[in-house]
Amino acid sequence: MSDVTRVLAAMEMGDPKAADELLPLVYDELRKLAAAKMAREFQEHTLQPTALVHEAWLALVGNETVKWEGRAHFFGAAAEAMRRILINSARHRRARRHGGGQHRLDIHEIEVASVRKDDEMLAVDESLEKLAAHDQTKAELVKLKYFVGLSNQEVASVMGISEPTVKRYWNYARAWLLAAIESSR
Amino acid sequence: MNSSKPDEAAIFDSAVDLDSKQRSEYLTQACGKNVELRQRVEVLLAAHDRGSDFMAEPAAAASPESIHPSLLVSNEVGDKIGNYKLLQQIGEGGCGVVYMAEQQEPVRRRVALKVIRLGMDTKNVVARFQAERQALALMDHPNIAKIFDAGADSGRPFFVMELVGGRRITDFCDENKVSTKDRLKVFVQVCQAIQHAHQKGVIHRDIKPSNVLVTMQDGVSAPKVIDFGIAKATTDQRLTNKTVFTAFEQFLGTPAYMSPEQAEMSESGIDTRSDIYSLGVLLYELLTGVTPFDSRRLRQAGLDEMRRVIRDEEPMRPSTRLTAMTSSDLADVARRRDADPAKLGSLIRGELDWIVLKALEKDRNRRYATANELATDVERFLADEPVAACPPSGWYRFQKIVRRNRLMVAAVSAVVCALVIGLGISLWEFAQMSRAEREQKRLRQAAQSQELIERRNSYAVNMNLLRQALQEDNLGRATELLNQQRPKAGEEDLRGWEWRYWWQYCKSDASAVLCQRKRIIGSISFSSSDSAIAVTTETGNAPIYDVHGAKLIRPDQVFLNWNSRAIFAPSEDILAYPEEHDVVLWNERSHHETRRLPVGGDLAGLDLQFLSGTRLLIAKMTGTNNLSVWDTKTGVELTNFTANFFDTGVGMRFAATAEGGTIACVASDKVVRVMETARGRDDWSFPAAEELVTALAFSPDGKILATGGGYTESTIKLWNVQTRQFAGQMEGHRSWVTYLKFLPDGTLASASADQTVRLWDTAARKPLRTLRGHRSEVRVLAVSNDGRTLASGDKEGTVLLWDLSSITQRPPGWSTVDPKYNPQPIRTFTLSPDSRMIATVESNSVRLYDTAALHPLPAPDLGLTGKARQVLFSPDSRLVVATDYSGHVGVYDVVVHRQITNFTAHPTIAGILGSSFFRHGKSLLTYGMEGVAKEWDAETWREITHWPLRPQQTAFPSLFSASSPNGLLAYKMGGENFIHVLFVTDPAKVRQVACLSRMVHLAFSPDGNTIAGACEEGSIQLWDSVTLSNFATLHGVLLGLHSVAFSPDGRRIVGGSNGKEAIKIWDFDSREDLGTLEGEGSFFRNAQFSSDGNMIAARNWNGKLHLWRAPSWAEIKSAERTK
Repeated sequence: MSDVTRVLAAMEMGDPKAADELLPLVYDELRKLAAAKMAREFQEHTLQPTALVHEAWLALVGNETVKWEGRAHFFGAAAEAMRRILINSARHRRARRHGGGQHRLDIHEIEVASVRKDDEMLAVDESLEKLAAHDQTKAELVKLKYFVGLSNQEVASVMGISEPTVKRYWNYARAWLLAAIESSR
Repeated sequence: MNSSKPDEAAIFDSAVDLDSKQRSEYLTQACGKNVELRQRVEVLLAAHDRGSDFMAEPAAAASPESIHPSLLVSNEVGDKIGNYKLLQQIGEGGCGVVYMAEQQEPVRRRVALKVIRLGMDTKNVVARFQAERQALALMDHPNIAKIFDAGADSGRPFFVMELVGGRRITDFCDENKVSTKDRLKVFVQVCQAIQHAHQKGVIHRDIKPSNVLVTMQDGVSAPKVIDFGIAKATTDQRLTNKTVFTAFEQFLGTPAYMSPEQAEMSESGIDTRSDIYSLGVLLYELLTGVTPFDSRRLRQAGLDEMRRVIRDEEPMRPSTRLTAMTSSDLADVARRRDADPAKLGSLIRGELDWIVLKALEKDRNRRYATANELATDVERFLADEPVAACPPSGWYRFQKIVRRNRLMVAAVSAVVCALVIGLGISLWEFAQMSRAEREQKRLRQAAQSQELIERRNSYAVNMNLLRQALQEDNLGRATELLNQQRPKAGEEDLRGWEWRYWWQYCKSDASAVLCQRKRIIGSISFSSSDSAIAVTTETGNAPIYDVHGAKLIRPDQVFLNWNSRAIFAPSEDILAYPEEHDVVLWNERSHHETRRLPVGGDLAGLDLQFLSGTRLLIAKMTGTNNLSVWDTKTGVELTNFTANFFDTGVGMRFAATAEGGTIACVASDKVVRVMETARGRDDWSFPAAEELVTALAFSPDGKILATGGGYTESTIKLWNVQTRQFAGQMEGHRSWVTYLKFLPDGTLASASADQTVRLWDTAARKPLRTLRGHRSEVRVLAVSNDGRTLASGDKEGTVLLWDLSSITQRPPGWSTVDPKYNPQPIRTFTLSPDSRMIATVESNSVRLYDTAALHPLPAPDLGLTGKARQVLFSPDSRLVVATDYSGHVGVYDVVVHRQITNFTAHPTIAGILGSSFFRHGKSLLTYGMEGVAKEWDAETWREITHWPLRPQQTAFPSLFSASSPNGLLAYKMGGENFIHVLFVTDPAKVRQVACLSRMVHLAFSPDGNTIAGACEEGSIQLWDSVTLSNFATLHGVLLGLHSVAFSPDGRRIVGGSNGKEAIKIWDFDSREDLGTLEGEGSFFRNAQFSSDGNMIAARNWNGKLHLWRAPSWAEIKSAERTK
């Protein structure tokens, strides 16, 4: 049994500490995968979080059977990890654009998107916490859809809600975030 | 406030789909007097309306559709790409943009030019294309668009192909209201084109309507399949879980046409049957107007779900699909087929359903094995014959027969006619016998299942793919292709000489596998006595092995920092490795920690090098003082300075001379900095790569610095450290250079992502040897202190050991006589029936060699006075017989080394044109130029009989061939357009058969039933030696053919051609092209098989002997048993 399946099993049993263990495991794996991918396909400069998360799932859980709840926990942790990786990299890029930063190239330097997209991403991230305070479920959904890039169908299956609900939540969350960003400026 | 939250979301949800007027009404009603709530909802609605761009795409999505085409290419009409001038944009897709362009040199013509989008690794795309180019060039089919060229323009690969007008097949059929039957006819042509490609070893991999264009030619619809070779060049063959990514992108292109194995990206790879699946989808769409799985649905489903659907979901039968349509959709589909909606389903129901579903089988073993089989089944349907797609019940067969009844009468009478003609032609009694036997054989073959034929086809395809895989040094793929052809229980073994030949090249060159760690190998280091080897992986655990791969016991498994190395000191058994913030010195002999060097800081990605004395150089990527030198005896830091390392993405790259006086590091992506810490010279920086420096190494004397580049280049560059000048470069790797290491003798070893390790002579800038054995990117190298063993580690965690003392230049695939034996140009030669000797005619002399070592044997004393013309062996291999142009015959016994006889067989003025042993070696036949054939007793060497060979002819026969078993003789005269065939004991009945005038060599099959003729135009004609019917023509060579031979078992035909295609091999039964053997030079004449079936021999224009050897089945068996 892998570390992750063990933790997922513990979470199912209701062990509250287990959730804390899951995130670092998933985060490390994603970071490693992203770094390996960058090393290999440097010329590509792009990161595809969906595929990365799928890969992390394969690497950490593989063929072991995990209940639906376990899968949901995993994706929750992966979405949070992915958000951190993307936000860190965007911050580093922004720092570098302004002349700061280091000379070493690492995970933070993965090119994700244009400058415009970086700004959008950072802005979303800033307001995401507020949205989470307002509506935890919709903030989770944003992480899965926006930071991991899951399709509506995948989000529906991960969160255990229907696809139309995903669409409705998404519409609301998007409008909410945009309104929040604009009001803070 | 909190209580209003659900209301806010619910009201927003309801209002969002309304128009502004309705919204206002709704909000008034829903919010009532709660102004605050209404304001908040309005703010949200406004944000929603305004923010259609906001978060429209995931934060890091890079799916092809989300990229606007304008970002992909920026070529303008009128621009030039290479030799091509862009005239007009004619297409655009996920993969790139297609232009109509004009080629200006060497010929002026219009072509289609496809520019692949940015982001693909150009060099590899072009390299992969080049690897397949030969195969692509071999394709010559009216329904295949030719691919002319490939190249790169400002980093983007482009492909140049035949310009094809026309519409995509589905559109064409719909617009022209092509009926279902006519659609099937067009589809058959597409299958035939794909079959042709498969026979040449080319898999399309991306069959879809946009790659099948149809035009009207003379009122007939003619499809052309385009984009061959592009899918392969633009996708990595070796898809592992880690490359799922890149594939995912490809994937989004056409998931609807993708076979389950393509969707799975399974290790088992893609073969011709993947194309069959795509053809099945195409047929489905031609019949029903829709694909089996909705492509939009697949695309939106996400990777896992898409795979699941393609892998698990059974497609709906085409006829059921039609029934399930709405009546208006069905009417549309029917209208586009000019059909009655009510009848469309019943036409498809049954046989067409079965055909489609068989092509779409999830398990590729259950699909049609070849495109031809699929085409044949469709043709059977069109001809109202039973299709093979389902096991037909008796009733089904009966129905078919009844429908065909009216055609039966005509068919039967045709067969009778053929028989009468056939009987009339047979002239001799012996022929009646063999004819009957042949007829039986033919009937037996016909009775054999279609399956065997299909297996033969796929064998041929695999052999061609195998050769390509070996050319690309892709041992993993080659081995898999080899193994696929091992027969299962009860199956006929189709393997022949070529399988055995390639088998020997699928072996790894490595002397041992040290370990398999399943993680990227980070470093390898030999202990001072070379008895232990430390290996680290990216996860940082560092086991130590003995040289036989056994793990040495370690009381405490160390866990190193991420991506760090562990290295042994060269003079004592001290291992240095980073742990936390220290570098630990561990005594491997006494198993205890001797010292900790408090380096401090983040030690991830640390590199280490022992310098002369007891000094240790530590290079770290983080912190201010990146380089420090420590005394390992005292633990004192001697010096430190800033070097500013740049992480190349594959870990730290730095190199230092043995003394540590000169240190090189990667300063920025392309720039190398050389620091001279001892000599007091200034630092020196220079650009060393196009894109990124990925490897650095100093020669043992410190005078040469070697650099490797990535990722778009694969060049190794050399720099003179003294003069600071560029000193040359070396090319050869097919992918980027990952690591460089000099051996103690100055030889440079390089590791590459192309799965090979190469050795180079840096003085001559020449490659010495390619080491094959890895099955993934090689990442790191190490050499033992005695310089005898090289170790290499790869991305999948395998460490291989190579014995350098036994490594020599890989010989070519053929052997020849060593020049030290001073061989003269060979004019002709013969292999002895026992396969042990070769008799050659060189200049005027006849020489003998043994075939095993190609050593000369004592030259036979034949006593010939004239110029030797031909040499042959008696069937027992004991006698060498040579004839000359002066009419003499010399006979020599190679066992007792004695001349047996020497006599004048024909008048001197005429000379002897040819000779052969007859009656199982009891007599010798000679053919004199005066037109007389003579038979000589092979004991007494007296004439038994003679007869006029060609009474009316005066021209010189230009070539001869005789088959002893049944005494047939075939020859052709110079300048004539026919072959003379006669039975030697009945010379009066000479028959002629027309042939091409450039027919230059003839051969009989071992059973004497077939005559093969090699034609300089590049084909081999096969005639039935009795009926003289030309029953087959073998094609497939780029240039001409100069000789032809059968294998001793009659299953293979080989032809001598030129250069890279020195020898071509065909399967006699299926006439399939089984591949080519490379040689040196042109005009491979005298092609022949050794009687043991293990060797193919030929000589080139310059008279150089070529011997291609395959191990015998027994040798392979014993080698595989010991393994």
